[in-house]
Amino acid sequence: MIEKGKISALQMGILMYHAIIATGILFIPSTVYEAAKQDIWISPIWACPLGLLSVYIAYKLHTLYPNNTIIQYSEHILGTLLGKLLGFVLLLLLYTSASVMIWQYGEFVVSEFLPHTPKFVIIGMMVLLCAFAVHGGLEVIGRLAEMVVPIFFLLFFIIIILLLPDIEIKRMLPVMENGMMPSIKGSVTLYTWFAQFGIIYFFLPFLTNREKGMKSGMFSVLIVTFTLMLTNIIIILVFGNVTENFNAPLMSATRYISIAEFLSHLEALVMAIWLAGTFIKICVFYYAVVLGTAQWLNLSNYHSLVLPVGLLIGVFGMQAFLNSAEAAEHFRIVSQGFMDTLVYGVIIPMFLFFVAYIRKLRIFKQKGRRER
Amino acid sequence: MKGIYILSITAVVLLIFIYQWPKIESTKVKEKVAFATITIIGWVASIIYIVFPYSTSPAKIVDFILIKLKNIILALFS
Repeated sequence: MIEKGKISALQMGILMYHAIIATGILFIPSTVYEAAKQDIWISPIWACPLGLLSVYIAYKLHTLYPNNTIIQYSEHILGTLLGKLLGFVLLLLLYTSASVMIWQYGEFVVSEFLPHTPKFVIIGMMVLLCAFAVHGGLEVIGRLAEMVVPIFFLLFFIIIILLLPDIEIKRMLPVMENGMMPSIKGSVTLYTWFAQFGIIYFFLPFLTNREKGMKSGMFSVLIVTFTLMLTNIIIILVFGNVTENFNAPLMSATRYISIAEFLSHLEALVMAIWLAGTFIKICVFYYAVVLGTAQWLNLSNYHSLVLPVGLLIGVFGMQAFLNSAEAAEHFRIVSQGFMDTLVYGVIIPMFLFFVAYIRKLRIFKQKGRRER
Repeated sequence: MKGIYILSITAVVLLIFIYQWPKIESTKVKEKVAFATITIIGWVASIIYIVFPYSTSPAKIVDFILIKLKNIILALFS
C-alpha cells in the first residue's frame, strides 16, 4: 500500500474536526447572518444531516472496498477509463479547493496581522510548513492534530468566558421570528463546510480500528455542529444586528474584550487558534491531493510529489482571486446551492455508491441464476 | 520587477529539483516523469501569472463551469 502509516479512528475524527472548523469558526457567522438573521445559531442543526450523510456514504463505500481510497475504487466501480476521468475531476476540484483555502489564509493574515509582509512570503511559508508535515505522512498529521486539540479548546473556552460580560440576551430575540425558513436558508451556506466531511474517504483505509471509523466520523460532525452553534450564539449575543458588517466576527468580538482595562487585545488568542486549525486543514487537503495524485498515476510512493504539488497549489492559491471583492462574489455563488465541495464531498461518492450497489445486485442475480 | 520574480520562482523550482531528484530511485521512471511534469506545470503556471497578473484562476473556472451545470440542470427540470 502507498501509505504505510496508520492513525486511530479518534485521530481521524480530530483531523476532520480541524479541517472543517478552522475556517468555519471565523467566516460562518457573517455569511449565515445574511439569510438567517438572529437565528444563525439554529442553522448548524439543519446542516448537520448533510455531514452525517457524507460520512455515512464514505463509510459504506469503504466497507465495499476496505483497502482502497476513492481514486482506486472509482476505477473498480466504473472501469478504468471512466474511473480515471472521475478521479481527474475529483482531483481538479480538490486542487482548486485547497488553493482557495490557501488564498483565504494568506488574505486573512495579510489583512489582519501582517499588512506589510508580501503575500507570497506568508503563503510560501505555510505551504513549506505543510509540505514538511505531509512528507512525514499521515501519522504525523494525525498526531499534530491531536496535539492541537487541547490548546484549541482551552483558548476557545477562555474567549467565550471572557466575552460573557458583553452579551445581552435580547439581541437573540425573537427566536424564529419568521418561522423556520430563514434558518434553513442560512444552513445552505453551511453545506459548503459540512460537505467537506466527504474527504474522509482518503483516510478510512488507513485506520487501525476501522469498525470505529463511522462512529468517530459522526461524532466529529456532531462536535463541529456544537462548536458552530456555540460560536454563533456568542456572536449573535455580542453583536446582534451588526454581525454582517464584520468579515470575521469572532475576531472583532475578541478585540472587544476589555476586562478591568487590563485584559485586552486578545485577538492574538483567536489568531493562535485559527493558525493552528488552518495549518491542520491545509495539511489534510494537501495530503489528500498528494495521495490522490499519486494513486491516480499508480505511483509506488507519494513522497516525491509533495513539493511539486505544494508549488502548484501555492501558485494557484496566490492567484485564486485578485481581491476580496472577487472572493466575496465566489462565496456568494458557492453559497447558492451548487458548490464544489458538495460535488466532491457528496455527489460523486453518492453516484459511485449507487453504481456499486447496482453492480452488486446484478452480480447476486447472476449467481442466483447459475445456482438454479 | 517581473524579471526578479521570474528568476526567483525559477530558483525555487531548481531547488526543488536539486532536493528531490536524487531521492527518487533511478529505476522508477514513472515517478520521475510525474515529478517533472507537475513541477513544470507549476513553473509554467507561475510564469504565466507573473507575466499576466490578471489572468483567470482554476477556482474561477470551476465556478464558471458549476454555474453552467447548475443552469443546465435547472433547465432540465423546469
